[in-house]
Amino acid sequence: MPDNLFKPISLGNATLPNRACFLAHRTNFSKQGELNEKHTAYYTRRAMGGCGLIVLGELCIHPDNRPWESLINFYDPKVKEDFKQFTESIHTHGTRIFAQLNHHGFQSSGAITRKEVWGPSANSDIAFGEVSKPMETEDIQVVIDAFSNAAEIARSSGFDGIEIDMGSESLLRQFLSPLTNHRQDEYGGSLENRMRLPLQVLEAVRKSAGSDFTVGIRLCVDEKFWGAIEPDESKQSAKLFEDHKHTDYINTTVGTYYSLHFYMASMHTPAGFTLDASEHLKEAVKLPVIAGHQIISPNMAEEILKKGQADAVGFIRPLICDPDMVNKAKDGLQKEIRYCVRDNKGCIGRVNNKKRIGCIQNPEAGYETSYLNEGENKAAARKKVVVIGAGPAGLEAARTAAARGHDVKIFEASDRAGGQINLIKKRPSRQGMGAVISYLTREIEKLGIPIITDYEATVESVLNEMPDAVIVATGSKPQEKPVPGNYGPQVLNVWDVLKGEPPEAEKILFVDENGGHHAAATVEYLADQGKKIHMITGELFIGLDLSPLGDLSLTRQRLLQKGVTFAADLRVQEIDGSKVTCIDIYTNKPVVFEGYDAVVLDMGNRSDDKLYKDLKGKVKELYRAGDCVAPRGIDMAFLEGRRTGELI
Amino acid sequence: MSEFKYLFSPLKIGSQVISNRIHFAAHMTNFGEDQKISDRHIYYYTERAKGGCGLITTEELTVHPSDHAYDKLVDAFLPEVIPGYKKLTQSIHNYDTRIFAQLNHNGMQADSTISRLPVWGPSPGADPLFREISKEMEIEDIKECCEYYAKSAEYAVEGGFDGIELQLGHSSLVRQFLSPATNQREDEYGGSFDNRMRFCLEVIDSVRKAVGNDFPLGIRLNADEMHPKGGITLEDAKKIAARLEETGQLDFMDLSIGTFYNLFLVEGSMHTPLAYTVPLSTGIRSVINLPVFCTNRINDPHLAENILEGGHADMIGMVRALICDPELPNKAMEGRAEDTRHCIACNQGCIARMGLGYTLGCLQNPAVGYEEHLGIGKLESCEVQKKVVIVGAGPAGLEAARTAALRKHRVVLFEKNEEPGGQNLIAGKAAGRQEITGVTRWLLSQVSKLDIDIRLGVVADAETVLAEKPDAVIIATGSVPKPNPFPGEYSCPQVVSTVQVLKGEVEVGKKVLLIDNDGHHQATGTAELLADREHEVHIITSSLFPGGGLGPLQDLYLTRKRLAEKGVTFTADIAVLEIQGLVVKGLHVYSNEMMDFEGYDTIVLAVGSVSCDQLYFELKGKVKELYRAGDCVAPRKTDMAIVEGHRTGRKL
Repeated sequence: MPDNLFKPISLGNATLPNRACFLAHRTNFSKQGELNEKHTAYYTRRAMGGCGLIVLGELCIHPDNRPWESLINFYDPKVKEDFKQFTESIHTHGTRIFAQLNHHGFQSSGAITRKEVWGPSANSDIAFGEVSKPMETEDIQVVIDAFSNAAEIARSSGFDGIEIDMGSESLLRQFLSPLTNHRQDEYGGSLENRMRLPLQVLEAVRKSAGSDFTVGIRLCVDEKFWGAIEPDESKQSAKLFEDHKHTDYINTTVGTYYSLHFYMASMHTPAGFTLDASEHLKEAVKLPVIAGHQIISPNMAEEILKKGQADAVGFIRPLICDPDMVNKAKDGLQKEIRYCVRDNKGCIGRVNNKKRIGCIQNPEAGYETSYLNEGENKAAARKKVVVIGAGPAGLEAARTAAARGHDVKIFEASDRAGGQINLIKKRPSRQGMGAVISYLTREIEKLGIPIITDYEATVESVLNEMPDAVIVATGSKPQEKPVPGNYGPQVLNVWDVLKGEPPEAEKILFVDENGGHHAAATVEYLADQGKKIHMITGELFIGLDLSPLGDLSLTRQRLLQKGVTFAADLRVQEIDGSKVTCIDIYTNKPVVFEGYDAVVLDMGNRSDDKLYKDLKGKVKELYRAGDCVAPRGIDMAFLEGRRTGELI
Repeated sequence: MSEFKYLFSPLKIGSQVISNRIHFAAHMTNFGEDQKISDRHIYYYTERAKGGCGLITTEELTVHPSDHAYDKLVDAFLPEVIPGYKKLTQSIHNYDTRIFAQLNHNGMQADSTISRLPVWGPSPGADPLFREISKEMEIEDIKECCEYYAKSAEYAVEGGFDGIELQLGHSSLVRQFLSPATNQREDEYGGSFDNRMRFCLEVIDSVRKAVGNDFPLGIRLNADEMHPKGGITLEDAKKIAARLEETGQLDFMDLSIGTFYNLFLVEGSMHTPLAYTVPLSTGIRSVINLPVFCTNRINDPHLAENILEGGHADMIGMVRALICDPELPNKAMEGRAEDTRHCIACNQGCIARMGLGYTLGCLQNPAVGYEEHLGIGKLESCEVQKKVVIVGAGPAGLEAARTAALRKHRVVLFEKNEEPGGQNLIAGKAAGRQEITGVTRWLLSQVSKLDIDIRLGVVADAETVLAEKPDAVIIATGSVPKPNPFPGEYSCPQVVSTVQVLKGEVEVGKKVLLIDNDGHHQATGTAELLADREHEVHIITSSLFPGGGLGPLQDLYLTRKRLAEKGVTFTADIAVLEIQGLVVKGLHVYSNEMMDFEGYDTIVLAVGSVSCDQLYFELKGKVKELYRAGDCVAPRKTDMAIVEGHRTGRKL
């Protein structure tokens, strides 16, 4: 057991049973501004999993601050009853619950509120692009009152503490930062002046919440931008916050919307890359310091605590992916943890697209209500289940069915489990996706489910098994001829490139109709082999799907720095030999690409549904899951695998 | 008898008689709550009934859980939807207006991110907008879909609707089956015309059976997909229409155009002609006897009357026109057509907000979505008459003046220019943007009817304002382009702003470099204007592509097309760091390489504005009531200028 992680710690008067904190983040569960049963179930599930502290984010402390619809109203005292039930539900499991209070300042727009956005100065945020009104003195008082009012609501709703957000998306950081605060009054200029509003907020909050109530801050230690907040200054401000005596702990963060790749870092960013933030503050203050971002396992957390890099450790994605991670670590079952792979698609990608939070590996994320209510879901009768295909869909289906008591067997055509994940793993910086399969195969092994590899299942062979139920999870394959023409041998698809050795070709034309890592990371793989690659897309730019994942900037940077060139707005019409004819979608004029040694197509897959169709009507229960239904992402493979395993 | 002989004649649709020919056609609102009709819906639709339209068709209501194309979609297949229906239809029936429900399944024009179910299509394929490959529907899916249509239709009848429209238009599963561009099936539902018609006929048949023979039932048919991969053409649509009429199961045909490949036609902006789909209704009407509806950019009662009189359609669909002015029908009927606030098809408040997932709004009409408090009849006279001085006659100032004067305040409006309109007039000078000045045209037409003391050509300073002894002052002094937005040594006339170019204040050289941090029409519209005047224009932007803000307006494609055809070139991903003389120093934001742009005769900046707030701060503390509205608070767009002008006018 990681001993340090399970030592209690006091943040002000709140004592956490352990040092694993589920930090504030967006879930997008709220409709019409209300706290609902989805929030309660989602957070309660994490409390059940053993984390010591939960910080509830996405609270709206003033109606004129609403960058997105799903903030939860936290300014009207009427909400206290709802929140009391919520905090009670968390407390049942011994976990502490804090409310994070924030004003987004100019990282917002008037699209919902129909009001101007407020900032220290006239700025426009890179994500929202709306110029703010420099706050007048009376506006500053409105903000202070809003924090103070919300603090009182938090206290009387049963929260154990509050965290004032001065992090990546906050008005208070905008005041702290020389990048965004150009005021010439007592709120701008010197550090002392820039700290004035944050300190006034803390004073007001302390007054309304009481001296015995835990009040912490989330501080952006490094904005990672030219002329912005840097660690040296943050050490000074942290010390001043400490001296000011209204702060009980400091939680750390880095980056802003200018650097989403830090703030919402994916697997392309090394684990623990922000630890310097908490280390700096540890040097400066005696207050407890919390580290967050890219801390990916209990063992890593233990090391951080042991080395004194922080006093407590924040997790978000790891607990979305495996809510039981903390309890598993406590019981010495680290091997059973389903580790977050930081793919970002199910969580950050969905949230940035205004969808409710989810997880590619954990289909329960966001649907805890039904799982908590249903409880144990054992099969009524043990059935003989044959699963065809050992990709994520097949493995998750098998795991679920076997866990429910069925007798399960998996057939896999290739020599190993993993399906398309085995190809993803070959791409630079996407190796982390392999953990998805390691988890599943460990579980499959534990449940004693046989995987018969190198076995091409046919209708006959399936029927010979005399199954009660068959789950077809045969995946998909690249479309053979996505556009008309006489394809020469130089024309390859992504699978051809990744499956064997890289092609001999020097100059490669890559057709990207994917817009995500599938294309970009394959190109990077080829570029790493020294190939000269020109990427073309029918979309407006290369990497259309990467932005919500926080992966656009670094991916484009790496590709360009590796000599890859881009052309957008081109729709491929025909391929003849290795000649690719496109039209420019704006001018409708033909654009021809010739003289490439190879043409690699990433133009979508088609379901491998033959076996399903052949079996239809021939077995008692027939299901299919994942790409053989329609080629989509791994999230849907997991979800459909799970759902199918639960149906039988 | 009004001047609109045809527009206000009744029309029989099946068993129903519609009182006039104005149809508030189906469109998204994002007002749905918990997959049901909300009170906001009801206020919104009722406002249009109050305004006098004969027929309302609701937004699409989805018939099946596999279709959850966007968050706010209403689930028509659940009985829980009925109470909301009843509340809505009862509210509409207080007026001489009928209301139909539109039922739809979006098919493959959706994704699984909300439903967590595979999207259904006739064949595997990915829509250009949602980009998720559909599941080829199995026979049992097709049967289930028909049953869900029938069930949903029954709930609509129970909910008190007067009729049902089935969406076979720009976003619909049924159209995907009809179209050879999306239907590649090899079974009895694909291939030949008859096979592609099969699903459509089965859907209509099951709905007709569910609602009975007397209940008005029609379709919204896609009359031309204009699909790049060869879809339904007008000639195909005529065949489809004729075949559907033969069934005897339909009572009307509403039409639509385009798909998600060409949304700029589905939701045509001011860059498309008025009434651009009339040829389609003319064509369809030539082959069938059922009433034919025509929609798209018909924003004026006279235009509508002409279309009816010419025999091009039997019913006129108005969506944006009635969003912008719900009272358009009543105004026309009462001989006040000149008071119509015409939709200018800027698409900023309506279509763009839909695309971004916000509730519906309107750039000109601040009441949209807020009818409960701001709707017809909700503007009350003031209790105490005040003398109100307003400085600035741009959209914010004019709207504030109009609202305050309607409430019987005494208003003095100062404007420093000889002509009122502010930046709205400048915006109208960019290529193809003339229609946007409709904002000023309407506001002036209303302001001129009210007792407002307008003083043009007067630069009002604090002294001028105080000399009026006002009870309240509203500052609406707007914004100006940022002076010296970048470091370096440079000046006019080599480096100028779009505003200077549009106002014609400066000489522009042959070769132009336009720095676009705007992403909106200000930049691209200026570039196009210069290209039209034979300048060679190169655009640089720090965004991924020029026109970053135009996508949601459905203006991106045609703008980029026009620019490309007019020889405008661009470089994306360039952040300008410095200007020295005529040399622009840029940083490539991904490769981090520095790049110099030189050899241009003029550099045009579209890089944002700063508020003119000096007068506001000078007056602060010196007058009883002081407000400000529009760009002088923070430089934004016209919608906020009008919202704030209106709000301030109500507050006094």
